[in-house]
Amino acid sequence: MKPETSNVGAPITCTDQGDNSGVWFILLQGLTPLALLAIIGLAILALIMLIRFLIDPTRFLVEQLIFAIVLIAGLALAIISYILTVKRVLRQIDTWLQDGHTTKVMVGLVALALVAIITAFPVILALLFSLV
Amino acid sequence: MFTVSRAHRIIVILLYISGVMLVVYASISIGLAMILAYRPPMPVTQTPSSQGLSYRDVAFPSREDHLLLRGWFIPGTLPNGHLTVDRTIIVVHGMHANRATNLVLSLSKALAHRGFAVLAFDMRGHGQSTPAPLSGGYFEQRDVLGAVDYLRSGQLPYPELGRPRFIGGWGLSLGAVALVLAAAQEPAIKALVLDSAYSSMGSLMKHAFGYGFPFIPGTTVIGHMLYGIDYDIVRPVDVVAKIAPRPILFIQGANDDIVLPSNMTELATVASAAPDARVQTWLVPNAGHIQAYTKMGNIYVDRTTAVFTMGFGT
Repeated sequence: MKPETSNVGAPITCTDQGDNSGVWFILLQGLTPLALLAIIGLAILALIMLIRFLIDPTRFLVEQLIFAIVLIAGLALAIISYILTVKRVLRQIDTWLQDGHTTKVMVGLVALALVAIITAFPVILALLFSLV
Repeated sequence: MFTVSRAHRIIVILLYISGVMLVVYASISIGLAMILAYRPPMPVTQTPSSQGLSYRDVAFPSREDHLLLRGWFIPGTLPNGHLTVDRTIIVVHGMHANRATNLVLSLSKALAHRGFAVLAFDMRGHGQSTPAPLSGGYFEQRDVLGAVDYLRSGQLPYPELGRPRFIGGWGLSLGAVALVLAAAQEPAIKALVLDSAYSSMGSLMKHAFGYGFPFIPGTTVIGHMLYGIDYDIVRPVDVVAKIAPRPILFIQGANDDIVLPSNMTELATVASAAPDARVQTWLVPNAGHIQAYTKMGNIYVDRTTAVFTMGFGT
């Protein structure tokens, strides 16, 4: 059985005892949920453009139905991929934590914090715009 | 002390909060954009014959995107009983209504009895016209322009009566906005009566949803993405001055809580600032949204026809 390391309660300012290499890779790995959201968003946008291009404007009701299907499916896909990729990164961070790679843990957490901030950013921006 | 485990916990919470915020915001914005753009059209349940008027069904394409619009053409009746199409008024209904509402039919009858022919039609997405996204005037102005094209060069019923020499426009709410936007680019519309027009789609949405309603920006973006509607440029207030020197009568119910009377003030102020502007305003006491005609009856018709007569010079 793997021995339990007790870095969980370590102060955030502590130095790493582990590997410092691949910080950028870890950062990018942590940003995967965001990248997937962006890819899904762009795919939905492209699909909508395609639907608008292919369907005659006189068949608006058909277009409206296809829009609804694409948007609901896209939203569901975005939710699932966001949850799965976030969980994956968190699991990885837990592993690093147990192995005592504090720097990796920190970089992973910073990446996830960036994901949280950037995900909430459009909503915060909209809230601010609506007050103008 | 701030530990890794605490940071971990906080970030996990932040991740889920931001995810939920984005999903909820996107879902509500998408829903609102789709609801704003489509509502099943109200059926056309009566015709001008219910008012004792003779009429013919007509169909014509909108300008630019060529959607098929359906309406009817009612010739005016001269005092000697002869029919005329010399002075024709394009009658444009409001949102989620159609050409067969009691208000439109009753006013059409009053206009016809005073010698004005009437072209009343269903805007896109309304009545019997082609289903299409409702856009607060952004696309609907093309329908009014299509009506002008039809009167000028389409195959009109009553060919024996010739073609209209003068074209005017009367619009209600959304119809009034579509008219302003169309008249600003179409000089053939010689006089306008605008009942309950809003000064901009943005101000209407802000009022309808409440100040600070956070989903307006999202709804606007989704509306643009799905339907190509740019609500931000539906701003009659920016173009109304171009209508001068053609006369405009703005009518507004003083108790209108959908389109506030301040909209009329804003539009009339800008329209009046143009050189040679001929602008009249009429704030009707105790009238709600598009209730001025119901409240004022013949006075409403008198004032309306006076503006058309002034614009046509006849």
